[in-house]
Amino acid sequence: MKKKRHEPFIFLISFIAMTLIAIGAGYYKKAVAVEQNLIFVSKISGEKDVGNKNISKTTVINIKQQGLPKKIIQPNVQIIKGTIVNNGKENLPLGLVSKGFDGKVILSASDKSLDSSNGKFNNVLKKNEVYDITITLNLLRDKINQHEVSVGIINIVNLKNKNIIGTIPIKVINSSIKGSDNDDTIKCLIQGSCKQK
Amino acid sequence: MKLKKGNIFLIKRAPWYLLGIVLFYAPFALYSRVLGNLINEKASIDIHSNCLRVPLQYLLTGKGVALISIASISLFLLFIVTFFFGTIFCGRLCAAGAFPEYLSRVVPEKFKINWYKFVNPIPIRYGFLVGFLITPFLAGSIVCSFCNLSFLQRLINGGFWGNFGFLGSTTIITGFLWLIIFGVFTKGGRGYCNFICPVGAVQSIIYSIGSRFGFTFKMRFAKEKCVSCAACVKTCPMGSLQIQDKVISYEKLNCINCRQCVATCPKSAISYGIGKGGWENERNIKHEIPIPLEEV
Repeated sequence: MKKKRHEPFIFLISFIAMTLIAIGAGYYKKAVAVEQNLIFVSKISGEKDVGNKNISKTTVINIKQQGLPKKIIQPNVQIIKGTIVNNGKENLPLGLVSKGFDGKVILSASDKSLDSSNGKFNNVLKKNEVYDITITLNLLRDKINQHEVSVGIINIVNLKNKNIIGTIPIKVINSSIKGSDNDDTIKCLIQGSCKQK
Repeated sequence: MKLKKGNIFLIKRAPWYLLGIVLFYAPFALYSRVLGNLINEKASIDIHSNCLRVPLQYLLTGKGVALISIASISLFLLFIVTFFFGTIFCGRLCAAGAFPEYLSRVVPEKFKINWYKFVNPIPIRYGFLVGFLITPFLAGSIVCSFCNLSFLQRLINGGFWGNFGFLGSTTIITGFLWLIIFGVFTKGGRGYCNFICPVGAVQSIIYSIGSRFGFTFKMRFAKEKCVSCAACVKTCPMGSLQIQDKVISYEKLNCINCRQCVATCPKSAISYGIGKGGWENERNIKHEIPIPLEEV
C-alpha cells in the first residue's frame, strides 16, 4: 500500500526528469554540433581570380568543440558543407581541386552532379544557380594530437580555360593542444609557394 | 533442435521488417519513390524522405506541414492505420526498432537489464515526448541529432561494416544507446523505442484511444483461458505485459502490437482482433485509482 501511495510521485518525477533530459540533449546538441554550422559560401563569376581576391572566409573546424564521443571514436573524419554560387553572366563548367590536406579528401554534391574521382561537375553551373557541396576529410589519426591538424584549400576551377576562379580555405585544429594560429600555410597554398603534399 | 514458439514467430516477423527496409530505406525506398511520383515531389531516396519525426514535431509545435507532401501524407496514413489497427508500423515495419530487438536475442538473458522491473516506461516515454516538443523553443530541435532511423540508414549505406561517413557526437551517443545500452543489453532490445521514440509515443496514444472502440483491432485477453504462466511477460520486448500476484496487466501506451505474446501464449489467452480488450486493468480500472486516505 505504501508503494502504491508513492507511485504518482515517482511517475511525476520520472516524467519531469525525462523532459529535462530531452531539453538537456537539445543544449548538448547545440554545444557540440558545430559541424552543422560550418557552412561556406563561395561566389564566383567565371573570371580569373587575379590577385587572389575571391577567397572565401577560412572555415575552421575545432575538434575540441565536437564533444567527447567524437573525440574518442572518430576525430579524423570531418565534413564541411557549403555552396558555390554563380554570380556571373554565363554558365560555367566547374571542377574542384584540393590542395594541402593530410589524408584523403572526398568531394561530393547533394544532387550527385560531382564526380568524386576527378572533382569535375557533370553539368554546367547556370548563372544565378548554386551547387551544394560537401567536403569530407579523412585525416591522419596521428595528427589529431597536434594543434594544427590539417590545413588545405579547395580551388574552384573553370574547366573551359583552367583558370582558378575561387578558393575555399579550410583549417582543422585541436584547441585542447596549445599552439599558434596563423594563416601562413593557407597563404602559401594559395600563392603556390609551398610544396603540395 | 526444436525452436521455441516465440523464436519461430520472431523468424516469421523478420520478412516484415525486411519489407520495411525495402519500402523506406535507400537504396530501395520504394514507398517514397512511388508516392513522390504520384504527388510530383522530388524526394531524396532514403529514410529522410519519409521521416515522420520532423512533420510530427512541426505539427505538434504549431509550425505546420505542407498538406500535399510525402511527410504529411505519411503521417496522416500512420495515424489512420494506428487508429484502426494499432501500432502495427512499430510491430511490423519499423526496421530501426526491430534491429536491436533481433540483436539482443543473441545475448544471454543474464547480461541484460530488465529496465521495466525498476522503472515505469510510461512517464519516461512521454516525458521525453514533451521534452522533444519543448526543446525547439529553447535549445533547437533534436529530431535529427538522436535519430536511430538515420543511424540504421548509415549502417545500410556502409554495408554494416564499411564506411559510415561522418559521425558527430550525438550520432555516436545515439548508436551507443540504441544498439548497446537500450539494445543488446536490454530485455527485449527495444529500450530506445520504449523511452526515446516520439513517433511511437504518439502512435500509442492513438492506439489507446482507438482500442476503446469495438470495431478497431487491438490486443485482446481471455482471462478464463489464462494460467498465469507469464510466457507472454517474458517474451514481450516492450515490457507492456507484467505479472503481479498472478494477474497479468497490460499497458497500451507502450505496446507495439508485435503479437509476440499471441504466438507465445500456450493457452491462446491473448489474441489480436476486433471486439473488447478484456484486460484486467481495463475491467478493474476504477478500483485501481489510489484514493487518498483523507478522502475516505
